[in-house]
Amino acid sequence: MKGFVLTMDAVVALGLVLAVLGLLLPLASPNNADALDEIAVQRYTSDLLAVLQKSGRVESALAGNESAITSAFIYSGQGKCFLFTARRMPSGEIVSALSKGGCGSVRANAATAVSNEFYNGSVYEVQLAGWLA
Amino acid sequence: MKRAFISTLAALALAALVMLLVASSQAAFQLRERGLADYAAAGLVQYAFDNSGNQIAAMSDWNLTFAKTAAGKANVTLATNFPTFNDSPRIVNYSDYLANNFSKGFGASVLPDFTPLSGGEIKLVSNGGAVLFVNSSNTTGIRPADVRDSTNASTVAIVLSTPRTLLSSNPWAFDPLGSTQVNLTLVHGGGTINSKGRMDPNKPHNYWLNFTPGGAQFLQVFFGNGTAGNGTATIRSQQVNATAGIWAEFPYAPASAWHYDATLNVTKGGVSRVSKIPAWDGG
Repeated sequence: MKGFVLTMDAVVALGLVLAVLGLLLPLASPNNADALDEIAVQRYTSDLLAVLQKSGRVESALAGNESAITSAFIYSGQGKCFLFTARRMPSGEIVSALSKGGCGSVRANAATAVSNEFYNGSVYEVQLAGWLA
Repeated sequence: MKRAFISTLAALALAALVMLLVASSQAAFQLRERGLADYAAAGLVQYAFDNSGNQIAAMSDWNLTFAKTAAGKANVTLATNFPTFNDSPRIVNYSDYLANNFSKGFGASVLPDFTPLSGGEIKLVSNGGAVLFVNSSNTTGIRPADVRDSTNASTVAIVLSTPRTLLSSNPWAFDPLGSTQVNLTLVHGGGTINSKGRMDPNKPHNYWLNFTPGGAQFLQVFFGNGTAGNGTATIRSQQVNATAGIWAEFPYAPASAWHYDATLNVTKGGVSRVSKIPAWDGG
């Protein structure tokens, strides 16, 4: 009988230890789901910038046809937000800044993809920021 | 008392096992995150290489196309205009931009070495050593990487177009048993010249196209064993405005990939790559 009580005591103690661990571990370690979301957004943003460049839409935007970029944003689906920026180098002067409608300003944790485009005698640095709405 | 002691030990062992499992799963998650991050970085590094090649192509005063044929050959076409433009200064500027501004924005170490492109000649090199080039001295063509080598081109076709009227020409001689088929077409203000036949790539052949008396303004087409090696094909303009296109067919295996003669060293996160900048991966 005494052994049974002690065993129950140990089991209850174990339960308490597990409960405390369950509460503390999520606080002590990064949230894996969030980290995976961040990687997915980073990947999507990089892929979208590559598509915009390879399809000639970045060149069109630099030529003044900004809808080449904004129309592509529409097809990215709901819940994803983007801001496209093109700077003429080496001055860094912003020649184009286009965002997806209804997204507001860029989130602090936005993913960014950076590339460059030679157009009409100048090099432009193009950047795409992506975040979840 | 003894049973209780054993039960307590068992409970403690169970607790230790649970904690061990939790700790190892955290490590596994972190490893997976790191793997995914490196996977993403690998894609970005790859894209940095591809995009640099595309931008050099955009800066170059030539048009290039590559194709793999059903017959298992690799076809390359290079077209440029005479007089040629010196693309080296803007390519050097692009190299500086990659090393400084771009590396910061890209969040990576980017170390370009574009020295081989800085001397007035833009070059592409195949994995077999053949070199495609356009230089600022109004010469374009194909040559082996080394004077001891051969381009191994099985067919070479050259098309020249100029609004000027041809005054006279000194054609080349063919070698009926030669291993290379060479076709030349000149479209000029007064008509068209076609010259087709087989040539020995180990012998020099020149076709001179004169546009003024005394040979002050001419186009020179060369095929064969030049100072650069066997199977060299070059077109040189001396004060003649013209469009020059050169098409060559190579065995696929030694010409299945082409890269610019420029090196990029990119390190992002746990991913690092040092290689020539690709122009065609042979696909």
